[in-house]
Amino acid sequence: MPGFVEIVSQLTNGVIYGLILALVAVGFSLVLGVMGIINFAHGLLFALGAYLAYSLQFHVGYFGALVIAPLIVGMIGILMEFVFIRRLYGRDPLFVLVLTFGVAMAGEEIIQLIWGKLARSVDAPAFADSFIDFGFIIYSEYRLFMAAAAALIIGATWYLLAKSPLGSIIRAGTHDPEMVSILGMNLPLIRTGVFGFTALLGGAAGVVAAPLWSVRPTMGLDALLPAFLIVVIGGMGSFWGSVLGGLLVGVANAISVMFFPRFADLTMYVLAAVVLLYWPRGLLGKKSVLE
Amino acid sequence: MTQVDTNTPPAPARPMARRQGAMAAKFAALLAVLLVLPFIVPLIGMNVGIASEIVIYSLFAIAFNILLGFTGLPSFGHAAFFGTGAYMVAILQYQGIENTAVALLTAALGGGIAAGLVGVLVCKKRGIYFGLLTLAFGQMFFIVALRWDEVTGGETGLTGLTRSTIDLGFAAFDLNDQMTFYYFVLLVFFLSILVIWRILSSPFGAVLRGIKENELRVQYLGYPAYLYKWAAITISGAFSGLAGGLFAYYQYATYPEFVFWVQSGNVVVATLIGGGLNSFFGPILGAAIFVGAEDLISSYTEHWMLFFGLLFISVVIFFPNGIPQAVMRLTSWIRGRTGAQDADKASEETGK
Amino acid sequence: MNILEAKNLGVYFGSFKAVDDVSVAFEKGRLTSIIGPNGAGKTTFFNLLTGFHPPTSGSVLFKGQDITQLPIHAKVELGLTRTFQVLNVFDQLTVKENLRIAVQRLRGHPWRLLAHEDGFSSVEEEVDRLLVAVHLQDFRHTRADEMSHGHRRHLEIGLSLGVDPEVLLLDEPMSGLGMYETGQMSDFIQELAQRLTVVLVEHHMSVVMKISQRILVLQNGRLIADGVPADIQQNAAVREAYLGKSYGAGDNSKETVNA
Repeated sequence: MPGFVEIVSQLTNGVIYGLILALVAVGFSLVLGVMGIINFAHGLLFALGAYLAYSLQFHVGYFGALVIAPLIVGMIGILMEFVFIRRLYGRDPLFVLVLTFGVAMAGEEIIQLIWGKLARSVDAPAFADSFIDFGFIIYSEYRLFMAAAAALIIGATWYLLAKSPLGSIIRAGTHDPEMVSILGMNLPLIRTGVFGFTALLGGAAGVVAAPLWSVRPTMGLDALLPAFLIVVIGGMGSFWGSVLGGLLVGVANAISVMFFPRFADLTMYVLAAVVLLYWPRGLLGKKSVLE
Repeated sequence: MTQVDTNTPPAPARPMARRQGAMAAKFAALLAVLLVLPFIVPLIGMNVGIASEIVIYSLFAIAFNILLGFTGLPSFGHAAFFGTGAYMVAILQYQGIENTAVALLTAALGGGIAAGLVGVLVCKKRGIYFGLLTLAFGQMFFIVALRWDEVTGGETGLTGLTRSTIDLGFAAFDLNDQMTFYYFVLLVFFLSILVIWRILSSPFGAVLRGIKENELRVQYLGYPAYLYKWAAITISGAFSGLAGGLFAYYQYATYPEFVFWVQSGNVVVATLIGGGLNSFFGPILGAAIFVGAEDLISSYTEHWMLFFGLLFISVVIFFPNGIPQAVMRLTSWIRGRTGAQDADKASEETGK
Repeated sequence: MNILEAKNLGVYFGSFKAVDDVSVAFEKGRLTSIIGPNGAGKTTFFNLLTGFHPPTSGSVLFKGQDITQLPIHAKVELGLTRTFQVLNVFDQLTVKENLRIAVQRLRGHPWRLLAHEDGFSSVEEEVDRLLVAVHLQDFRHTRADEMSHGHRRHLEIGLSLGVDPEVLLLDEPMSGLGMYETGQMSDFIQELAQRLTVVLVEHHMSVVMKISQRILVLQNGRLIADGVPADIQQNAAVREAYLGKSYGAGDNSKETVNA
């Protein structure tokens, strides 16, 4: 039986893991909601963020990387939309999924060609590389920084979506892509923008996660598959659903790591299956055009 | 099969008997090609074994296409059912059960049960959400294959499988012989696709076609659409499992990669290449091209994922409706180009 | 006898009441029409009756049985089906294939996986009968998306008839039809009403006034009038609902009310 301290520290770890997953899921879910696209390459963008953080840390330091890496990933996202995805609008969503499958496969191999197969490590920034003693528990500063950074980015994204004029256009697009064009907006530009923005979010999540996750070519998929389930659990097209789902998966994972570590990876699937049986649209999902 | 019949009016009407006859002819032509396939394959410098792989993969793609092409459900988790079948054969052998027929039936059963379980979760969904869910839950099987070492052998899989000799009394067939194995695989394949065709042309198959076209309409005709979808997933999973079982014999092993998402993507792409969205036999052509490309790529580079990724991308961008249609387009384009010179000739011909 | 009944039926989208506390009983064998300005909630009312949307409040009774919570297919099995405002047939299939899917559930054992679909003579006979009933016998092997709009409307009704319904809800069967086709459709609906209970949502006032035995008027989700055509024409509330626009019967068949 794990002791009190272990339980507290594991649960905290779970919440932080959950926040990172939520950050990945929010971007993934936004593209899904606004563009009706399952972006299987979203995990690749996450991995690219982490790898760029690794390379950039030697030149601009961690904070420099935290700003620059997501911007580069965002540009890559824009390029991806512009070169590939744009050709497939109005066609069966199946094709976009196969396309992003291909991008994810090729991208993973390109990462291997550039950075090698072995795991790389990114150092935590100097200000947060020690531990805080809370009396009953000693906890890594960087983990707390990570939680704060993830929460901040999630909060900022929500603010952008909920409060800004651009956000209202995007939200309109979530419900009805046609409405956006009826409103006289430039739909292709909005799509490119949304795709680039979610790529940026994915990249940022990668940078934040880099010091604690092992930075390796397959890390994209390690983050993306939970993101799928989080969207299922939270409900398609629901922002807070993704956040809630992320936290649930993080905590459930932490609990199962304590009790049956070998099959901990399966917990989120069980959770998603249960949610699907009792809440077919997810916990906070509404009826959507995608069904 | 371009037959010109001057007696019928131009209406798309075709009497049922003729349609069935045409289908029988196609099955016969397919069988004829596949019977000589192992003699063609070495001519283009490939191993005879590739012929078996093509046929096994064709079965997988046709089974998959029950969902994609004939029910309109884009599954991205079919590796789970294929892999379950493969593991069934391997696990049975590790338990000392060597009988090929029993093992393959168990593989089909395992694939069907796995698909039935996933089906319970996904059968009320459609379109992109269906794709997302099958992709997610398919990957669950990969994790089980990876983690449940005692049964699945973990990362190294289950290796060292044997193929038995099928003794029919008057003759014995040693499946270790590549040719014998190929014709055994062909027999299983051909019987399977006959059954699949039969299912698709039954009243049940008609309901599936209705669901592909318009699921709401099917519900308003009094059909519980989700039950039909569930049955389609389960049947598709069973034949995928059978293909997986054959593949385990082919490889003398099972590996977690059989259950990996890349495998699910492979079967989608193979089906698309063959123009499977609207064709029963298309996936066979797709599987042949895909397996050939795989063999070629992996013999030249270890970075096969890069080339596969590029293959996926180019299929979607250049041949979304399959190679057959692309070829037809290309030929008509060439005709259009040379048409200028041939215009006189052509008008002469039509004038006759 | 009431075959279909709505009791305090309502559905709210947020604070917007699309259908608000509607209670109405439909007598067996009668042709009832529902009219009202655009956005009055006519189609939403159909959606509630047939289970396309779950209602926020109230219940639906079919032959006295509460069917509110039943899934769509179970309602159809009992004998209640509908057509759609936006045409809803199997576009890529031929007329015969369309109708066969409709009739085989009751006659063709849809779960017999290994029986060939051509092998059920009872299905073939019923399809032939339906082809005549919906006047499409010349289009047996034509693909649905290659036919005229009017023929497709006939096909959609044919699909609905294939399930042997007792109550048929028709949602604007004349929308998009030319004048000649509208006349045909009007005759066809009258034919149907000889055998079935028909509920009709329609904008063509002259047709509605001519063929209906009873008319319900919806406005802003509420039932504001209910009576025989002659009464409805005199009804002040109805006139007001249509912004004072006069819609006297029999002027011409083009006249529609689009408030």
